[in-house]
Amino acid sequence: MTATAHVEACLSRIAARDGEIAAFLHVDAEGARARASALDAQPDRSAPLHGLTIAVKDNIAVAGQPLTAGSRMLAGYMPPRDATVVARLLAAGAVLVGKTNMDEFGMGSSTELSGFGPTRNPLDVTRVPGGSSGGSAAAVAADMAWAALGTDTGGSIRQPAAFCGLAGLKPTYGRVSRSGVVAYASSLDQVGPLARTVRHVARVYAVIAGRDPLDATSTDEPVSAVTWRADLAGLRIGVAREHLAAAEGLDADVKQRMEAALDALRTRGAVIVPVSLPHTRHAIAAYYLVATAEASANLSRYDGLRYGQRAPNPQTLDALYTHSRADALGKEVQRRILLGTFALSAGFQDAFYQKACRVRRKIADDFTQAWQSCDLLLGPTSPVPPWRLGEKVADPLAMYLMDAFTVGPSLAGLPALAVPVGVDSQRLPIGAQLIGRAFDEATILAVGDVLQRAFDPTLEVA
Amino acid sequence: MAVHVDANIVRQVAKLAKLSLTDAELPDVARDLERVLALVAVLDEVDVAGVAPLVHPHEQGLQPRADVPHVGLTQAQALANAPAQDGGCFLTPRVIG
Repeated sequence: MTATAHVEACLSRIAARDGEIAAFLHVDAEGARARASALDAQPDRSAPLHGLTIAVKDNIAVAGQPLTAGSRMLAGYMPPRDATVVARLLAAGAVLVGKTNMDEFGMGSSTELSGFGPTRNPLDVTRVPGGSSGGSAAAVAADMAWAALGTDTGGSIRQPAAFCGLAGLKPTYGRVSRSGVVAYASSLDQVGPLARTVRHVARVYAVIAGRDPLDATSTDEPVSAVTWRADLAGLRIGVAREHLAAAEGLDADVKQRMEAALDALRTRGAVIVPVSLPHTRHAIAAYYLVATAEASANLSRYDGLRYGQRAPNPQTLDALYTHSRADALGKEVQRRILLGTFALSAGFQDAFYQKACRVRRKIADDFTQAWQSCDLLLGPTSPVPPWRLGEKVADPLAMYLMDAFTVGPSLAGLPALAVPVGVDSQRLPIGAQLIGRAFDEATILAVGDVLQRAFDPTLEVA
Repeated sequence: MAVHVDANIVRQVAKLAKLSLTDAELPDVARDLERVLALVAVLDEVDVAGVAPLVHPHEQGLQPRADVPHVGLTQAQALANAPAQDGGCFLTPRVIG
């Protein structure tokens, strides 16, 4: 298939379905057509993503396309240059089709908290696609793009991938450049791919991973090629009791799918090892203090002066700041800024932020202990299948608890991969989460591929 | 650590966060904040005596780029998204008399 034919097919599906799904905030139809035409005219088609369409989450800068990060605050903002990950996709021959919807600044788990309206799950439009990269997941699940970029701070790639029946990778912290990505929580944010198959995820990951001089937190740790496997002989897969047998609030169908996944892996030669992550029940609390503290600092840049919305006729500089921010930032964003500011404020910092950082080390130590007896971990991505639109949006705490299994690897900086492992009794998709050692994306991708194909033997391997 | 969040605490936090809240909004925000703080009180169960805070996954430190000049944003690029500008500068309300 030519790049042009592939792009036209994606644009047709966007035209047909995105009025209902609302995966995209901006579609660059003309840019995508021109790019595809130029690629089709090239004799050399060896670039790793030649002619493949990719949708980009709207907190990642693409020069010439608006960027809002799902916030009314940034309506009309045009980034001056490409994010490093975008430059790498373009150098690898990708075609960018547009910018995808998201919870405002990444703060949400359902894409209902976008300043521009919710995205719907293409597999069941009465349900959420997950979040915060819900637009990216919906775009791929509806075949509006071959793959998408998302960002993940506490589960925002993995959970929407699971909710839309896709694979999604949060790389190790430092693996992928954050230059040109709107900051939410800088010690947690990572960019990663979502796609139909683990192998497609691996192709995009191989392009975007690696040191970038523009991001001092990116590392020059070598990026290993994935060795695809036919079986898992000799591999030890840990299962934390706190993520399965003793998990709080775990849906019965999700639990049953995880047991089926373990059976499939055991059949293919893996040894299943029981382990414990004793601080799992503390991870949500530590995460929400650390993430909001960092957000309160990062989002101080929205001051109504240099970019973003400006309150009309402010009489003082302080009024300019406080009214611009209160008028243009959504309620959940303001809630998190206030919590983070509180956790960092004099008199409370030791009891909240510093305490959360100490518990964060205990959480990271739990994983280090687990690696003594296993090579990777398997558990659920989300405790429940995709919920109905509006079901949890009025109760932020209920929404926070949905991140119970994804925030731990985020706090520890570890790579984690969502893999589809079938559907529940209502035919809603369920995703397993594979967690790897730092910088060992290759192992979770290889095992994820075996796992995905165990549940879908007809899957293409290209 | 249980904390009773009253309107004065919310007012002080909002001031630090540079968010304008009306008096009518204070009770709801106080209730929200108190609910979240009740959720995070679970951390009190964890004995962290002698545990150093982990503030960043990269404890080996950052890797800054070489300290050589490079082209950054032009003035026009920097001002392109400014909601108000004048004479090549960002425009603020009057700050001196």
